[in-house]
Amino acid sequence: MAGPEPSSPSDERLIAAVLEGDDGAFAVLVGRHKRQVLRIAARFSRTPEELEELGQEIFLKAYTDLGQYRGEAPLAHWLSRIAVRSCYDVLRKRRREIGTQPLDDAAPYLADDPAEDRDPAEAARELLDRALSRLRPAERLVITLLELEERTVREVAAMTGWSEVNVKVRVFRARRALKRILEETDEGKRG
Amino acid sequence: MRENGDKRLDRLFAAARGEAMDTSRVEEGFEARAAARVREARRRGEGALFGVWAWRLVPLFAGLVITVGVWTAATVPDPGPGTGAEIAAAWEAAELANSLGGGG
Repeated sequence: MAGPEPSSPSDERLIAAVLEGDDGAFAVLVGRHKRQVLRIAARFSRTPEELEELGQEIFLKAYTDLGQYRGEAPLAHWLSRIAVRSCYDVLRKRRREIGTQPLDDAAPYLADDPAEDRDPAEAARELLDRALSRLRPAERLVITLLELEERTVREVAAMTGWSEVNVKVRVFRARRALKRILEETDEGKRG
Repeated sequence: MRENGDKRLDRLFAAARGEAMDTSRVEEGFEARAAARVREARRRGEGALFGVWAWRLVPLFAGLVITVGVWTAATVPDPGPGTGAEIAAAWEAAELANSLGGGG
């Protein structure tokens, strides 16, 4: 994440300006932190449109709560926490709306005879997305942050507000569930 | 030979790790759209915001009313019988004087 230019105002000064009603200062803050926030949100978005919507929701929440920011942690960390909690809300909402999907199309990547004509990374992502969509929201959140975003357990705990033990338990359950889902996919393909 | 489930999962994660959605298209002009969204939400939310604060202030006002009531009861001296009682007493006295005097 790139910090502010030496000549540009600090996050703290921009926050003070936003709280005094300066919308331009808010736009500067968004511009400074959008990449980091959108990167997190992208892991939980299925389309660019969803990403746009989720990203805006995150920054709207940040704007609303900006008066509560105490400056005890860098603004980037505070925004990451808002992003992660917003993503969790989206996962829970999606889970209620669509339920689970069958796994089929992307399975060749993990089969004994992988499809030759597909980009393996792309196929892996597709398969993983489908498998992850069958996890509970909390499990999906922690496994994504740990395995795909390569965050530590401590970081995930700080971002989610859950204890480290809780995070470890959820990761364990997520991995167990994913292995079972992949096995079921294999059996489905063989059958 | 079939892969161990954990190794297989790790291989899948490693392959997918670099496959995050490209955010560059969304990043373009995002701050302007986010600021516009905030302005719109603020414009639409001004009434709602007042409602939220009004509800939040209900306990404060209730507490204020109770405090003033208690303070009044504790500090204001007893004024004695009210005006109504005085009128009733005067009326009764007049009636009594009337009947004793043989009037009416």
